[in-house]
Amino acid sequence: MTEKQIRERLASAVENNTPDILEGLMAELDIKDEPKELMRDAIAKDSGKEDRWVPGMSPKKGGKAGWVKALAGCAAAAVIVTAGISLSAAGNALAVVSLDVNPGIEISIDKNERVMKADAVNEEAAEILADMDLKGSDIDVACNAIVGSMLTRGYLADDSNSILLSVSAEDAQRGTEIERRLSGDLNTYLEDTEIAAAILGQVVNADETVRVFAKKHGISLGKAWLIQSLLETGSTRMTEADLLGLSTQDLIFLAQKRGVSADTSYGEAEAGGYIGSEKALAIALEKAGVSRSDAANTKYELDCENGIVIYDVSFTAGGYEHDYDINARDGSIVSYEKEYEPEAGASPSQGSGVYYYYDDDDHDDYYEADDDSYDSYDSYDHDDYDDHDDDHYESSSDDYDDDDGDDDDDDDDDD
Amino acid sequence: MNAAAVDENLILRMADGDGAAFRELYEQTSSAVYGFALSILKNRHDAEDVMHDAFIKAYTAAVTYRPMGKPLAWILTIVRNLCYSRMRTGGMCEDISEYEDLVHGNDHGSVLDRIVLQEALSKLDFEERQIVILHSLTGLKHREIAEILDLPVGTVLSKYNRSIKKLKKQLDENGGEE
Repeated sequence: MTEKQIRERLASAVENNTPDILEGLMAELDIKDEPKELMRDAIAKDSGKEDRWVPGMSPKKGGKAGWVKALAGCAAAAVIVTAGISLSAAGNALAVVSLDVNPGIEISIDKNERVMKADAVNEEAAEILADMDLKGSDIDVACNAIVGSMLTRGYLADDSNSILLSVSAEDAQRGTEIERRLSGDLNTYLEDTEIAAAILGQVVNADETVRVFAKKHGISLGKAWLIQSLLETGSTRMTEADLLGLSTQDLIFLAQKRGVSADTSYGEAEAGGYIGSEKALAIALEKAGVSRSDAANTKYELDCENGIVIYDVSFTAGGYEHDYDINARDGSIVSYEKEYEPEAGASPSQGSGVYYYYDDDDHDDYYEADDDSYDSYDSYDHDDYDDHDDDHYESSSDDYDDDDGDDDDDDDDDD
Repeated sequence: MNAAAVDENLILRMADGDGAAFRELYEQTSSAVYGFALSILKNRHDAEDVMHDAFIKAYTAAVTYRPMGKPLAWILTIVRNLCYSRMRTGGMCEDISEYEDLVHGNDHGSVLDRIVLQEALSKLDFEERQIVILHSLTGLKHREIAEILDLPVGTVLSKYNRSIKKLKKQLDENGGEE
């Protein structure tokens, strides 16, 4: 048999045995052969109140396909509404999976990993869930559907690219398995979109303290856990109240930069609308009138104070230590200090312009930020410092190889 | 049918809810989608499930498609990801009898065709199966297959040649027609 014959016979065998599932798919997707009106128009007309199809589920009667198609211009209302909707009690659930973007959703699943119930943690989430009947569906399908809807509604966007996926389970190992799988699947799903998404996956030990904290503040278990983890990162500046006021996006960004140990991390939250540490440094250097080459001991830390996420940038130059707090979103200078450091190499008299001796009793010598003066930094790129490995698929054939053991015949002659 | 020649506009039309475009895309790619899934999973039931999910996803994710002149590669990447996801979750029912019944079951097509497919599924390794099936069913070039499988072109070429030799040898030993 020739190579060509082999190819033709293989093609013929597959073509003759390919199942015909077209009609079923068309029915499931509720699509007909004639072109449909643009979903954008449909959404505009209908305010999104129609039944929505969820992948993998039987379509509802009269439902319309295509929530994913609706790139409706729903602006991301990045306000956390603490509606205090019920927190899922574990009950007979195998695990509680929380998905937080700004909408926060908690999904209880049974031992077969099917959805028992899905609770909205805030109003945005309630809107999303109103369109879905997730009960009984596979958790993977439910997560995809929810994230798809968040994408469609603009909650996941270039300036809000992060998802917190948390799993709380009695069986921690099972919880870890579920978390890793769902995070990986979501990452795969989002890779096909234009959003450079970041996913932080965590396994939550939802003890009484975390439950009470979450319930008290009307947030998901996952978000409660993340806030508590952040408070343990050793910052002397961020407070519980600060963190409760932050968006999920900001919390994930802080967690990634402050080394909160996540079980899974894909992508960079920093890509979600922050100036980046390079630009923060450039802004500080410009304000200080110091060239990059003259700055030494440069340090960055991402922190949060008074509800603002800041790059805390410090460096020494010309005998002074400079310390700047730069707003991580808009690049404005929140505060700065300049302190004489004899070991930094020069005497104060050699310094130019105004400097401040750092005295502990007077903090009112901070400069107010002048937002308009930093527009010229837009040319700085947003390079990340810690490249995460986004490759979650191991392409090694060994992992999935069959066991036939006859793979290599050491015959490298080509035809 | 040369699935490699899929018109990119079909996906763009699908993004606008065009059902006819969906039908056309299905007709042009279903064998490639099913065959590729089968080559990875070696199980017709799992392959059919993936085929189903892949077309659902292609339709629902069509709005996210960025025109790059590679519509088939886009769909096959969806298939590959779904297959890998299925393998990770361990929900597969891999069983050699599942593809043996391609030969002995009530399938369509010639027995010899099915024997060739069975040999390809059972005697080739994970990557070889995918390369041979994609090459046979899609009309994609080795370079394009290499991109989809995330392998060097040289690897794809040598694996392809080795696979064909292996299949020839096996089929000849089994009395396949020359």
